[in-house]
Amino acid sequence: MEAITSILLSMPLVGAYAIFGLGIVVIYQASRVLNLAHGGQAMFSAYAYFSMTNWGIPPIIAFVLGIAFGGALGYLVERFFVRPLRPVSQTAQTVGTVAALGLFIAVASRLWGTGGERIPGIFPAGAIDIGSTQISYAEIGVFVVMLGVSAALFVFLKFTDYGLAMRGTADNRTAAGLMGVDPDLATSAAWVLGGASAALAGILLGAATSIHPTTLSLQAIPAFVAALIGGMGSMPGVLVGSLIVGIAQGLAPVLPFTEDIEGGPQLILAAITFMVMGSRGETIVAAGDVRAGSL
Amino acid sequence: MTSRQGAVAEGTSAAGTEHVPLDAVDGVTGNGHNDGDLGRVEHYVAELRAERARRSADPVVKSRRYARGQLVVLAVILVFPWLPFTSFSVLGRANLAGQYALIATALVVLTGWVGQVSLGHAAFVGIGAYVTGIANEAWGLDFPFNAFAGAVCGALLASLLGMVALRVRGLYLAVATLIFSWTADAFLFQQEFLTKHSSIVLDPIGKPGGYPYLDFTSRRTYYYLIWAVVGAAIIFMTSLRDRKIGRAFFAIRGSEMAAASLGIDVVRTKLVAFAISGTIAGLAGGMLMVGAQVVTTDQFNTGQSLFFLAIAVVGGLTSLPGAVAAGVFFAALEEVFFRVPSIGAYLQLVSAFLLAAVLLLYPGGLAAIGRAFGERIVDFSDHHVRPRVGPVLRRLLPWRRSDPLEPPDPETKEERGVAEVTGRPRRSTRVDTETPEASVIEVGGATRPRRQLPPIVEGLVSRLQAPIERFRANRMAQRQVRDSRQVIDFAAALRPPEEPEEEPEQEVAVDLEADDDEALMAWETLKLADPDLPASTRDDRRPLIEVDGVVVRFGGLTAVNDFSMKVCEGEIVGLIGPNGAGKTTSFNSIAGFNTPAEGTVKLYGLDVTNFPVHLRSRLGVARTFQAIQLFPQLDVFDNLLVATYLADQSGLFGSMFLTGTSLFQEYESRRRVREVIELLGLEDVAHRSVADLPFGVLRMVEIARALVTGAPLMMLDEPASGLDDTETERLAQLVRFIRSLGVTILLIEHDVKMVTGVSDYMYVLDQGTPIAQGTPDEIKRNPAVIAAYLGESPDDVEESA
Repeated sequence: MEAITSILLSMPLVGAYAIFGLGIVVIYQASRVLNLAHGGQAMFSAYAYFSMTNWGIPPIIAFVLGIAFGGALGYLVERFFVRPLRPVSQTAQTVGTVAALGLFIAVASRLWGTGGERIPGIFPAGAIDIGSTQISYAEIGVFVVMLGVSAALFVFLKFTDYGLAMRGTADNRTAAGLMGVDPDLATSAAWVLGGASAALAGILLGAATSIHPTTLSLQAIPAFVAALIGGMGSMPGVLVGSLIVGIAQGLAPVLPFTEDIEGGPQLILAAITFMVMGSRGETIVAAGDVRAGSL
Repeated sequence: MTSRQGAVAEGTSAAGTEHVPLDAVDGVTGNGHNDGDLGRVEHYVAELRAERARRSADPVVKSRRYARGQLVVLAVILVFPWLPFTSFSVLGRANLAGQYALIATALVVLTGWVGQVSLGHAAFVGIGAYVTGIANEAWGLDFPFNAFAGAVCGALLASLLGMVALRVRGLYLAVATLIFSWTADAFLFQQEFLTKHSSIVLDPIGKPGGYPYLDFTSRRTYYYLIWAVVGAAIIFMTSLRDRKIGRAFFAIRGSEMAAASLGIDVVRTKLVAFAISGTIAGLAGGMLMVGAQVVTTDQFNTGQSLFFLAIAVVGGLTSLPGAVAAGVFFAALEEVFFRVPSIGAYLQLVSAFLLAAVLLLYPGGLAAIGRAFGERIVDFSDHHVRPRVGPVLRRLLPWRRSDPLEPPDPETKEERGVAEVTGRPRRSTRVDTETPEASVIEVGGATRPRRQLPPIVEGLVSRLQAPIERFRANRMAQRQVRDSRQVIDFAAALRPPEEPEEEPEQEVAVDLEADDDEALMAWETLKLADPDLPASTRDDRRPLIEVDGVVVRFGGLTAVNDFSMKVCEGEIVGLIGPNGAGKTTSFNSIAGFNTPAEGTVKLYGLDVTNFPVHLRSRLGVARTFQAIQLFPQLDVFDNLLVATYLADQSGLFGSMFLTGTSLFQEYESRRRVREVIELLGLEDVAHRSVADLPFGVLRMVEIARALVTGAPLMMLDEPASGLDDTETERLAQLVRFIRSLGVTILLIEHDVKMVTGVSDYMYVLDQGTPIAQGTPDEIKRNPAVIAAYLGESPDDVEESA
């Protein structure tokens, strides 16, 4: 019973990781860059949303604006931290996102302090009783929104020309260009999409818990594992990955091995990561992911 | 502008040389250009510059050029704590800079050289620090042994990460290391048993006033300590980089497939890199603990991991001096923000901003900025300072004892004569090749060319002759034992030929000096002793490759079905087939890039069906790739040098600590590579980056690389693809030439004309099935083959015939 409750309680986490993970995968698919600034973008957008509600903008409008702001952030990160480094190497592009992450955390700490804030949600307050504990509407909201977002993204990438253009661009920029796709535009679009989804996850997760410059930025880390389990490529894969990662995190405090251990969730996550690495490693290589001198 | 400055500087120095007759003895700088003729001087400077450009890729030469700069840096480091502006606070930052530099060095080795992105180095630093604490408090180890314990644990933890993450690379590895750091921070560093000694009392070594006396609470003492550690790390890692293991690192970064095909054990080498990087990071952690005697978990969280990578990236990621510069840069930044209170709160912001700025403006990092700056000042130092300081310094050095009062010894005189006759500096490649006798010395009883090594290394080599000779004799015995067990002696490739004059290739080598084109023409006109081997005698020759009933499946697709073939010693065997016939698949199952579902592959009579690629290479198989797999970070010379991996007998510690053996092996490796470069006429491109070269040349370089290995068996995977008719014709000549060197060749092609022209025996595949074998003439007449290529059924062909 306790375990089932824990699983139910971890659903908001699953939702947040899935939204994060989808954004990470969309960006990776379009530009072959691991966006380490993803959590930073989410955090920054959540703070932007926080400021807007403070100015008296109704939460629902601030929510939309916050997501738009996240999209803009995604564009800026790609334009100024990733694109200039494309000729250098993939590693350099990823390190570029590290610079962006550092900048986001630093700026947020300057603007809003490092004390952390509680932000208003867009879902009504209140909660449902499950067993001995409660699950709030905000937390349920995260999960529901996740389902909607993943369905929308799936349809967009799979069944529209834009989605095809993005995937084609990731595989071969030159060829995509010859087919009439503007590769820069397709990449930017993916980053806008990724940034918007990061903002979405940041605001929802922030509303369900709280926001803090460093903590919220690092909350995207399990999402990387989720994306990795999914092979960095498939939407359903990310969802399955998020389920595994989220539930493992939720179960850590009640499992017999890890309940007394500090950092138990992280330990489980690390174990999952390395198991995935071990089992998937060969296929990753065989899939031609690694080209000569790609790093 | 630069050239004029150089010329003027040369003019002054040339005038100065009139008073220093010793300069005339010096090959590089003297040579009778002391008449003040500016035109000649300018010409001379241009020559020197071109020569330096040609040789700038040579690490030995490079280290010599920067030696003076290093002396200056060393002097600055030594006097820094005693400078008037070096306050207590500044000294603290200098120590911090040393710690940063050490951590950045660890990252340069792993991420810069091997290409394994690590976002988790804070974990290694942390374990190093905590274990140092435990070693000091619980195990009672004094410095430096406590820090060593930390370093060892850093190495163990890094190897652990390396082992679990071995099968992934690139961004996947980045994620794995990120998670690793995150877990270390949240779990490992929360464990009581590990962190209970996070605050230690470090006993000073020695007594106050006595000698030696190391009081670790003194910032000045710690300053010398940390910078000595940084210096040692830089020296050892530089040495490692420029030798066998370091080249293997760069090779893995460039192309793991090619690295494995040259005999490099990719898995083991990566683990070595992880362990080395972990050792340095652990040592840095230990030094952190020794310096502050207290650490907190904040110092080792995920954010710090990212910051450490940022330091390495700002430094240029592949450059050790860059790593040090970046360490100093970030520490200095902290000091500036500490000094100016009004901006102090913006440190984090500005660091992040600077990281972004450096990354975007100078993707090559501080190292690239330094190189750009260095190029401008090197001319000056070489031409101006050297003629005055050089002779004095050189007189003090035992291995350069030429005294102006004594007549120069015959060897020097002869060199000088050559230089004067040709009007070129002695060190030009040209002079050496034209008059080989002028450039050889007796080392260890054998004749070896002597150029390329700077005097300091030469001196070392000559001093270490005796032990090296003993060691060589010892190894020779070992080799004979191994030879009896049919294992290929790669080291033979590094031994100079016994009687060079009588070898046919020497003749060609002389002809090659004229010009690349002429050299290739020479092969056509020169009747090489290369008769076709009659198929009737096939069974008398030793089979090197035996493929028996190999079936390769990819999922449901059978790519190769029941394929058998044999390649015997001394043959050129062609394997042809239309596109998609399964040629490359069969080829790969011989080279070890796939595992057959059925059947066996034997190399040199040994069943290697389940051997990994690098072990097959060790048996004596070299290969080229259809899609060229050169190492993009290395120039042509270094690409070839990687191929001496198996022949080079030196090990990790030899490379790092510069033992006589490793120096000798390095020297021999370079000689071997130059030999092959001359043989194939690649001198002009030897020090060019492979990224700038045309496709045809790259093919040649890849074949040269296979030749350098000294393997008696060479497998060429569609070498003519992407070449035009003339180039294909040359390639055919080259293949026959290589065979004349005693190399057996398996050639995969779809260019039928080329293969039938060079092969002794041929196999034909079509749609994964062998359809014919025989001599080229038989194959040309074979109806099934004609059908496969023309798309008719065999019956049709027979009828029309």
